[in-house]
Amino acid sequence: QQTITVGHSISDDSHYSVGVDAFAEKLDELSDGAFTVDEKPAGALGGERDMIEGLQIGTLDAVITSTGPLGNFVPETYVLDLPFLFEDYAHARCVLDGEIGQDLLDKVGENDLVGLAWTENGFRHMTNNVREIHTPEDAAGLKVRTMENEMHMAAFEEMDVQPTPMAFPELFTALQQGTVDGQENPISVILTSNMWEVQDHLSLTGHVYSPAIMLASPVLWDGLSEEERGWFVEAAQAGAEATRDMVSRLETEGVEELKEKGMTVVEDIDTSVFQEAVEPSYSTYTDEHGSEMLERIRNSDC
Amino acid sequence: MQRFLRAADFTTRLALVVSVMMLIIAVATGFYQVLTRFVFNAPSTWSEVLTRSAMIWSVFLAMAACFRWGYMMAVEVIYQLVPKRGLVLVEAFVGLACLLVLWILLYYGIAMTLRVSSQTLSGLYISIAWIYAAIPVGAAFSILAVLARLLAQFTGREELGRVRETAAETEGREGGSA
Amino acid sequence: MNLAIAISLVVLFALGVPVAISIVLASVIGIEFFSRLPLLMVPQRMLVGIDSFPLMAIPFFILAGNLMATGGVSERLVDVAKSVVGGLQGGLAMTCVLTCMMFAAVSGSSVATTFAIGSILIPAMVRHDYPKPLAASIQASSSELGVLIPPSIPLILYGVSTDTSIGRLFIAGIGPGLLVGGALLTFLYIFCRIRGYGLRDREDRSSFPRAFRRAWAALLMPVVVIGGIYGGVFTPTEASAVAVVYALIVGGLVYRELGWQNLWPVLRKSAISTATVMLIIAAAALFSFLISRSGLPSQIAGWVTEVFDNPVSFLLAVNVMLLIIGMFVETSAAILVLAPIFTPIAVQYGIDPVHFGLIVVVNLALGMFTPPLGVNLFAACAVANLSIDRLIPWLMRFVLVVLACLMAITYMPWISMGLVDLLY
Ligand code: NA
Ligand code: NA
Repeated sequence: QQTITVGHSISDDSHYSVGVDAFAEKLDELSDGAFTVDEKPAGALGGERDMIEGLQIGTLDAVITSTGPLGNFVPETYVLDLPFLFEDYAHARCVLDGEIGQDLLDKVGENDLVGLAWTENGFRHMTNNVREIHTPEDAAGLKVRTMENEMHMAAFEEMDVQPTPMAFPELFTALQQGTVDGQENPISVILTSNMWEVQDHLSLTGHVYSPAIMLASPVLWDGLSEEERGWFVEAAQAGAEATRDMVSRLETEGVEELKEKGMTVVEDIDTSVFQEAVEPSYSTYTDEHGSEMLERIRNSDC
Repeated sequence: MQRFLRAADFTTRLALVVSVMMLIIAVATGFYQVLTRFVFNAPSTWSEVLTRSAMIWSVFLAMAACFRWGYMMAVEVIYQLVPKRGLVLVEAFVGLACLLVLWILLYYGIAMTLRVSSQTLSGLYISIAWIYAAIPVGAAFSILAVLARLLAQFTGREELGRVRETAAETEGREGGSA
Repeated sequence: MNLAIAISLVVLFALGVPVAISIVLASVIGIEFFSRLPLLMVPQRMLVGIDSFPLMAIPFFILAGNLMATGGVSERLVDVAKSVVGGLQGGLAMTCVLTCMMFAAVSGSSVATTFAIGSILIPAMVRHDYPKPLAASIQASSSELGVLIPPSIPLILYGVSTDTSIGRLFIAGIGPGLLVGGALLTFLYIFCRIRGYGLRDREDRSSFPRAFRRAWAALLMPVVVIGGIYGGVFTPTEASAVAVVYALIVGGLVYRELGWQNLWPVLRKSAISTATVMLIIAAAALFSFLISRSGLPSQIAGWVTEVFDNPVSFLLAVNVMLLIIGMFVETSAAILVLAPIFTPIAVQYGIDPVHFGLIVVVNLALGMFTPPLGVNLFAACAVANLSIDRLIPWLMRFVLVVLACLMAITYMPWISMGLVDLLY
């Protein structure tokens, strides 16, 4: 019997955690109890970048992480951070579950890591305290807290938004005090971090689809038989499915709940206008990595 | 031996000078970051990571000076309980413990630096190995510093134990910790 | 594994091995002999442990404090305090507390406070016939205000390790800081009357307006820092960088006591202090990774919630535990290892994480001036040139005063949270 330590950086009632539970259940079922899962949520074993590093040296067995820090290890995955890359959930999931997703997982495999399955955080939406955002012009001039991700920051700059990286624990107070005007996150985060208390307007811009990935340690992988490896992949897919179900549910129920809590929600957004506005920021990616992968995603059958 | 002591004191001071330079870089970029955000309204993408990296180098380089002149914080009660002659043993044990840890930091620090060399440091477009290298480099300087301290104490050049009441030393120790 | 780590840690501490080295060595023993983890994780976790932007506030506030102290701020603050309370019997002892309160507002470290203020006031108190151990005790206990009144390195560490807003923690530190300061002032007033100390304290003090005019630039710094954070101008980390520049301006241009020639000693001292603190933080990060991975925190959480059925008994237990740990373990290490374990439990009992942070920090601040490991104690003894054992009988009284304050801060949340609720 072997214990598999799985780390991630969000709380143990999150969509990641639901995914870990499903992973654990499936793995237990497939292996007939040979593998048990020990979940370490909420960054108990560190931040996303250093947990990925930990997989490489074998301090963790598996990790669920957003793609934010993954590009440092596997530059090919930067493409997934591009704004308005996917039209909707069906599109994103279809691409990541198909040939393109598998190719990217293989790239992960070439960098001293094992990519088990793609999962997700969902689309990111903008909230702010100044005005309703319908068009990029509405967003212009706002100070918005973003993740520390060059693609995202370049895209916001194209909209004349002032992207402001800031540590997450300071965000709530910063929004309250007006250090920044707004922020952008998936609905689940906006809801569970009580952003609605300090933000008036929510616009379902869905400007970035935030994928996540379940990675395994090559140290663990080397000790597994072909059959066991198959179990891990299958269990990871079951986990991804559970996570996606929860994200989909939050996307509809969460928005309703935020309305009830008094946020104005702009739902009918013409994303093509936004897409046009941020298009020049794609060069941040294509200059370095070319546009092959980008074209493949756009021309896929999904 | 005299020559080794002088050489080790030179390397320790050298490490400290570079450490101070790194501290200055960290403060300067930290302040620059505030400026870009509030004066120019365009936060820089590289300043934060440069601040952190410079600080990491500053910390591991200053480590040598902490060992050489005994600024590392410790529970000091044993120095009052053990008779003067026993202090040799205490100092030897403490020195060996430090050397063991420093050797691990040197050996595995090099291994880790090589291991992460293909990983990019976000924001600066360089390998993260440039940051990890601070650990083995700092450990190497520190090993010399610990050896010099032990040597100086055992040959009677410096007093045994953690007694350092001279004005210069007390001054350096100022602000030891939170 | 946990038991082996704990035993090695105690033995290494007791033998006088430096705190950071002890923690790493105990972790190495755990990794090598009681787990299948790689030793590569030693440099990895240590680097990750200090690779955090919010932590940068620590070196910056250390540097700002040292610049202030060298730039002529200490004497001016002493003059202000003396002009306020110096007229009373025991006024010099009270001056020490009051100066520490003011210096605390420009410094994030209590040891920096001990050196900056103690080097002026301990000799002054001795000249005015205070027993030397009493003078050192007054200084050692007053300096803990350095970490209660913002900015504060332990509060930064608590915020970083538990994902709590540092801005809120800073505001919450003001109430407890004033309480402890007020309690020490009251105690000294009464104590000096009864024992007849400080009869000649009225000598050589300047008028308040004059002292204030000389010190206003220094007194403005907390207004800039706290005002800037609260007013939404900058985050606490950025505030620390601003504080450095402000200290440079005050020391170099306003007071003109900070020249190129004394910049090097300040920088050197700050680099060394930063390294001693940050190495402990790095070591503690390695240690907590091992502890977390072993599953001990959730075991403790399960056990605690089973044993204590209400917040009152839980807080009492936490206080007792932190007090004992604070006596033996260095503050930063204790916060980094314990706060992530106990804060989630406290939240389950309905305790605000900001309030809990203050409880943790006041507890550990008390440990800063208790033997065997107390940084303020070491610092005060170094300044006064005394051995620790001579200080202990005098110190007990101050420990008791702060202990009483601790109970008030624990069970009257409004002392810390009142200002937070008012401002936010
Ligand atoms: Na302070
Ligand atoms: Na103590």
